[in-house]
Amino acid sequence: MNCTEFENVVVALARNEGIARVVRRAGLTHAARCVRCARRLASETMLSAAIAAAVAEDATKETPLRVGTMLVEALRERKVAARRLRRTWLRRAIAGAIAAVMLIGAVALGRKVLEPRSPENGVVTTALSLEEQLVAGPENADEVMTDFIPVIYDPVPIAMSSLLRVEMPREAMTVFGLPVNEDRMDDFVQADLLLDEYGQTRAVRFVE
Amino acid sequence: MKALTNLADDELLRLAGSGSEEAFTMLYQRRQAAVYRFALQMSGSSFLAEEVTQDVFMTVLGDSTSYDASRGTVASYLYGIARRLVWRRMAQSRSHFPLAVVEEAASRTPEQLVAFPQVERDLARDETIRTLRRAILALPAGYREAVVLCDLHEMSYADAANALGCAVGTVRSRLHRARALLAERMAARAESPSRCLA
Repeated sequence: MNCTEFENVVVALARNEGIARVVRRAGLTHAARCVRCARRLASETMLSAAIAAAVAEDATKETPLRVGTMLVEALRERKVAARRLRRTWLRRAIAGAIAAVMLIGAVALGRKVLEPRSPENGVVTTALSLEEQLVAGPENADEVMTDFIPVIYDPVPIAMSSLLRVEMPREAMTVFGLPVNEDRMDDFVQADLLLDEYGQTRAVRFVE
Repeated sequence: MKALTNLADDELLRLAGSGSEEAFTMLYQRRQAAVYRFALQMSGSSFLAEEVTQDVFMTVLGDSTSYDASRGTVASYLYGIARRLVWRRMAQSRSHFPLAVVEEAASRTPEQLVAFPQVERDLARDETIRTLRRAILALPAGYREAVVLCDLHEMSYADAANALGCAVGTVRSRLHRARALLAERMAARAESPSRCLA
């Protein structure tokens, strides 16, 4: 090994890196014969020792506790903000869905009024009065449902109502003040919308 | 929390990104010290190191999706963020100085100073470490990063290359050059009488 080749391996020798035993032996043999390279190896070895001492001294250094506490607080704030944002969007989505249902209902009722009603054309009226709807039990015995919750207040009694079953995110229940398991927020829940003769949603109940 | 201790860093990072406080806390406990030390060794300022560590983990909270497991470990990813933040902060405040070194020197009690010869040996060792730290802080940026990651943090060349965003060969050559400069400065100090003991 010559001085140039030694220079290529001197850091590996001083850092005790995994180099081939033959190369290590050749490097040490060269250092034993060459004063300049011996000095170079000695200074590199001294540097490695100083670095090891610095590493040992730094081993106990870590971030002050307040930083961790602040970060956890930041995480919690982000979660609350994200949930708030999601609820806002959900409220808008529900409002949009209700508006769409109202529009569809209004169009359907308009058609019903215009078309002459006859048993032959297959139109079956299943609408119950509001009182009947409000006391009506579940169609399926396995279903558990909440009471109807009014969506809008209208003092005018409903002349003709109909019931529309829809699916909506479970989180929608929180809008009406119902308790929801946080883990199931993103699941869907069935709901019955009580529509008046104009297709306007008067009340909603959730079905399990 | 106990179940999380067995999870790998990348899994903790994913869970933390989806809002798991426990996963974030576990990842923070595992990695904060290394990030803090890296920033401290790069800047010499404990204040800056604290701020950088905080910002690194805030970045993780904000966007953990930028981590790509195929490009390296989570540790390299965190060092990469820390590195950019250190340079940004140091560029903003040019007046950085090694506070840690000053704090260590001032922390010695009179009792410790009279307990020879152990103190003499400690002082010599402390002086060596101080000289090393000053020499590292005086290195050009690229060389300093290589020494801090490969020597002080004992990272592999591949992981260091990943954190620095360069080739393994570049890390190797920077480390070689950096060590030669450090060795020169350490040898020069050894030959001249210590100002500290004078």
